[in-house]
Parts: sequence; structure tokens; C-alpha cells
Amino acid sequence: MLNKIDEVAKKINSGKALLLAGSETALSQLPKGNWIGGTTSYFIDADGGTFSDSSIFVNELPEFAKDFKVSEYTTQTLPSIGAEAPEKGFTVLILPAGSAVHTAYAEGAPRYEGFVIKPVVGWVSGVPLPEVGRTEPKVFNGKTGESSSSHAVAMHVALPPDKIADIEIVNVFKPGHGDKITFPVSGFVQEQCSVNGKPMNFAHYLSSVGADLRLPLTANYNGSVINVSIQATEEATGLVRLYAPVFAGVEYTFAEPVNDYVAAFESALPENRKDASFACNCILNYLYANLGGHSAGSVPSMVTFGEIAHQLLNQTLVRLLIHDV
Amino acid sequence: MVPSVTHPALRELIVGTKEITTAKFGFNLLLTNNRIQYKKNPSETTVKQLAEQTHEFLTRYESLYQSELKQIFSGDYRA
Repeated sequence: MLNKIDEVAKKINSGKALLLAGSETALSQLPKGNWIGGTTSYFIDADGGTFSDSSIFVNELPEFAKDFKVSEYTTQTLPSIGAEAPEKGFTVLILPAGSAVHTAYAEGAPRYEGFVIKPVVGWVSGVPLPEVGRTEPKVFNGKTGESSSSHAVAMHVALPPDKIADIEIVNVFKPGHGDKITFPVSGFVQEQCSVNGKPMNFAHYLSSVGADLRLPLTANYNGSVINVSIQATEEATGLVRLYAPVFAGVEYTFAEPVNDYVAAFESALPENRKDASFACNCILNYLYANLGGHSAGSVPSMVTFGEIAHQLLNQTLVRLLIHDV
Repeated sequence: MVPSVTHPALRELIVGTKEITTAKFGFNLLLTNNRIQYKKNPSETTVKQLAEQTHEFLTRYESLYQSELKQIFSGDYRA
């Protein structure tokens, strides 16, 4: 939920363990304590989508999650995140958008020790859209009070024996029935692709078919749909920049158009809407669905520049659920 | 109890000769990544390594994956 800075400071001073999202100005004013944070100024609260530089979105760890540890990671140490995670619990990870750790996690996570077995949930921090390219997204380590635009920050949370963590995604997109696209190499920047088995330049392909770049590429992971959103195409160089990496060996199709995002979120949410311990939604959903002032599936969340549900996702609502065993 | 890591159903799951239906994101991600890795390196060493990971996952999350465990191991799985 959105809180004023002084309200968050009180929670920190009371010793609560918190996951915080807010502007750099807001997060910089907080006292040291048991928290990690990442920059964003976009949120979905009870009243709907909103922009604020002075409020902070607060996720409190549940009362039973008393055993936690804050760690920072570089590109060199990030692959050990699973090894450092508790045997039973979950990890919340925040990556600054556009940083080397962002790229490293997005491309490497499926090969890290403990991938999926030890749940990692989290988000990519960002900046107000007019400041993209001029201001660096940050992550905050509340234990030290320091921020970074190059390190990742994580909170490893152990759970008692009668609790278990599970990550759920809510994706309003469905794979379309158009061309089947594959890529010879994995990564955020793509030049070549195969379309229905025929090699071609990806940027030229997108231009030739007049692709709606608001729609993500989708991949079917045994029934779960994973999105990869397109950031920009460069006709001159023939390069296409993506908000998450595509993976060689995975087949992609463009998503079907979504006419009513809010209705689509409502219908995509499971019937048993257990309150999530943590949730984040994508800035592209916020923008393309025009969520400013509108609710989205009744799920309060921070609005982020990439979502982590084990691996990096795009245009997806991610929820952490903690079940009784 | 989850059957042994050497149960043939785990191999079938990894190489893609056994399909299961689930809406659970974590398992779908694990299963698809396993198959991508096996496709890149279709050796018995890969199968053994991926079977161990899959077995560990199913053992940890047994309470949440009753339906999936029954699909994978049929009569060999009893809650």
C-alpha cells in the first residue's frame, strides 16, 4: 500500500522488515533498518494507477517471516544467489534497469544453482519516463542506507516449517496464431531470427509486417505464457532491443491484441484470490492499458520496469503467495 | 511420498515423452527449461542432473503439487 515517507519511517523504526518502492528522493529520506527498496514513481493502489514522487509503496513481510538477511550482488556474485537463499523460504531481488546485473540475471538465471527450486521474486527498478536515459534507476540497501545503480539488492527470507512460498503470474496476453519466430542466440538485442523457419533480419521483419510493438512476443512454457516486450527497433542497424532476453530454442509468436486490459486482468486472476505477500505489475501494462486512475484486477502493486518470477518477465503481474503446509 | 529420483517417469518428463497439464507457473518454467537444456545436450548425464533437480523441486513442493505428482507417477505416488 502507498504510504507517506514519515509513516514508512515509523514502520522501519519499529523493526518491521519491508520491501519498498518509491522515488529516489523519497527512499533517500528513510532511516536505516530492515528494508530493501527500488526506484519507481508508478503504483497501483486501491484507487487505481497513480504517479507519485512523495509516496512509497510498502510491502511488509508477514509476521511469521522473522528470519531474513539483506545481501548485495554484483555480476560476479549474482550466480550464487540461490546458494545463499534459505533452504525453505524465498528471495526478493531488485535490479536497477539497464545495469549489468539486470542483464546478467535476465540471461543467466535459468542456469543458476537452485533456479525455481528456491523461489526468487522481485522487480527491476526504474525512473519516471521523461527521465529515462538521464537519471539512473537505483536500488537501496536499508541495512547500510546506501543506494546503487550497479548492484542488485536482495532480501533472503526463511519461512517456518508450516509455510511454503509459491510464485504466481497473471498474464493477460495469449499467444497469437501468427508467424512462429525463433532466434539463433539468446539475448536482449537481436539481429537475426527465423520466421516460420526462414532466416531474416528481425527489425526488417517487424517493419514489413507492421507489427504492433505494444504487444509482446509470447512463448508457451507448457501452458504458462511468458512475454518478451519490444523496446525499440533500429532500421538503420537492423537491431531490435528487447526488455527481456529471448532464448535460443524457444519459439515465439506475437500476442493477440487485448481490447480491455482491466477486464482481462479481472478474468485472468484466479478465483481464489488469496492476498499476495508481494505483487508487482509492469510499466508497459500501466502505459498501454492507460491504468492511471483505473484499477487493474484489484491487485495493489508497485509498477516496475521488469518483473521477476524466478526469471525476468515483461508485461506480467507477479504475485508471491505463502501457503500453509 | 515422492518416488525415487530414478523413477522412469522423471526421465520421460525431461526428454518430452510424458506430458502433464498444470497451470502452476514454477513447474512449467522448470519443465520447459529442462527440455531446452536436454535438447542442447541430450546425454544421460544431462538427464540425471535434471532428474535430480526435478525430484528436489517435487519433494519440496509436494504439498502444492498433488495433482501433478499423480499425473507424473500415476499409481506409484501416494500422498
